[in-house]
Amino acid sequence: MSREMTPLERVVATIKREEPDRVPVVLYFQSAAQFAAVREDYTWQEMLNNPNKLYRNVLLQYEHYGADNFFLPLDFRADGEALGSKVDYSLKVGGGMRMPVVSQFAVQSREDIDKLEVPDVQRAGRNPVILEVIKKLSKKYGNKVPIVGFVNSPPDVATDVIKGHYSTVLPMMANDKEALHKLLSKITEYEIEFGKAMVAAGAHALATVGGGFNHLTIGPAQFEEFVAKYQAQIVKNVGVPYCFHQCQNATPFLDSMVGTGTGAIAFHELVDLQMVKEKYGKKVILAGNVGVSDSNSVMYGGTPEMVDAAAKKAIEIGMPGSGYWLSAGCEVHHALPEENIFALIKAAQKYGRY
Amino acid sequence: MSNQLAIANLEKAVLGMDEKLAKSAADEVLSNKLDVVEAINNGLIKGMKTVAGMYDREEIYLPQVLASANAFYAAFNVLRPEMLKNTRSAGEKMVICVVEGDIHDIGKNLVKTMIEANGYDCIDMGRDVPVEDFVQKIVDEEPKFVAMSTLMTPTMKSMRRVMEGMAEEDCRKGKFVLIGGGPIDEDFAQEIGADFYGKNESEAVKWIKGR
Repeated sequence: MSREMTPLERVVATIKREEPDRVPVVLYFQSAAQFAAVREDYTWQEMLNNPNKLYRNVLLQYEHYGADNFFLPLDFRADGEALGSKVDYSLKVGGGMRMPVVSQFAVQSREDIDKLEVPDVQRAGRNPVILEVIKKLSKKYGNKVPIVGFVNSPPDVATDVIKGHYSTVLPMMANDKEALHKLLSKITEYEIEFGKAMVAAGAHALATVGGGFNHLTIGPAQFEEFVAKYQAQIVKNVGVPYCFHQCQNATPFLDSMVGTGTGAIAFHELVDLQMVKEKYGKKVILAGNVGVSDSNSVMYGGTPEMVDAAAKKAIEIGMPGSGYWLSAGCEVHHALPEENIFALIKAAQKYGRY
Repeated sequence: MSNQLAIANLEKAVLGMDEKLAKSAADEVLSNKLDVVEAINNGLIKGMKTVAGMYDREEIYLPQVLASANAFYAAFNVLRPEMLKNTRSAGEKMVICVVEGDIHDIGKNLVKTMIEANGYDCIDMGRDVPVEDFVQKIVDEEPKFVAMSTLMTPTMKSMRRVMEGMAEEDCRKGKFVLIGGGPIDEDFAQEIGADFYGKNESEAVKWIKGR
């Protein structure tokens, strides 16, 4: 039996297409951070803006849950906030959560895009907190656990920056492309610099979770023009391993996702893992895709036994030949039963031994 | 400007996602005292139906649909006051929405527009409307007609939940419930206890007028 690897060794082995001791479990641990916030009686605002609280919470991803990575920031608003939008934590956003929502947009109209300035990434928004936490994680676990820094997909960030949210950005993809490209270029410039700053602080890898621009809203040509093109620039310029996740059914976009040059792709349970393994498994690392998003998905609405069975099936498809990370189909969120997160991680230990 | 040219420009504006042309064509309709309902029906709605068909066939996606809808409303908001002025009130009320979980509202908007054009008071709750909010509005407003739409299969269950909510609130009696949208059919309408399934806004208006 092979020696127990550290999470970092385990993940690096998969990137090198070598067999690790077992399949790694790589998670986008985001709003599930609320479990600890509730237990310790602090709010999202306190957690996301206080480096000590954020650090303690992120540590739990590995120390409490047993994931093979750290993932931060924990919310989707950090980029928009850094670019000048104001957020509000007091609005009720489903289930009493206090995740930040944009309350004031940095850009008020299409005509104002030219005025948007790319900020100093070291000082903008909550970046000082995020960078400090990465430094602390690196100091304690830098040689043992992969630290993954997160930037939101540029068009998703655009919806946090320009007034009107998706109702403004989506039509711009059809009849005001020039202005939208100008905005996306500025956001991408910012994200490349912030990505580099996270790497300099100690992040081993970066990830993007593409959300609202999915098969329900746009077609393959728009995905290539407004999502993949900018993602490719980020991947190319940050110079570290990259994981690109796309929400919902990414099947029509897989060629574009792989074409960005990303080292890994992650995808929702609507995507056929077997098909992806056969078509893309030799080109990129695959991460996925135990159901987590919909109310009838196994991690959300199922039992630990059902999660165990679904994870076993995914591992059987993904692990042969290495290059596979067991993961949920999307972010690990606040509405999941905690025992289902543990069941997913345990499944890799049970069924993922090489 | 002739009625035909104004109508053609309204349709062209919707298809071309051109808000400026939409607004100027609507202004022409008013300044030349042309038939507003005909302009809406044969210009704006005709254009939007073409857009909806292209969307259904996946020839275009939401960005084009929303841009066309923006052009539609740029003109419709100019024409609507005149339309309402010339419409004889039917004295009856409808509450309408796209059900919880779905944001596709082209069909709902077309139904609403034609319902209003026929003199009904239409309370539009918008899209992705929480079931509880919609049921509460029905309780509060006591409409004769309740209309729901969805384009997606998973959100059909929200329609069923509305029907259950109406039964729980004891507000089903005396109301006509009509539903529509891509995955909906007559069997589903019967299954959840709705009174009518309509394929489009014309069928919906025709059915309502007979009630």
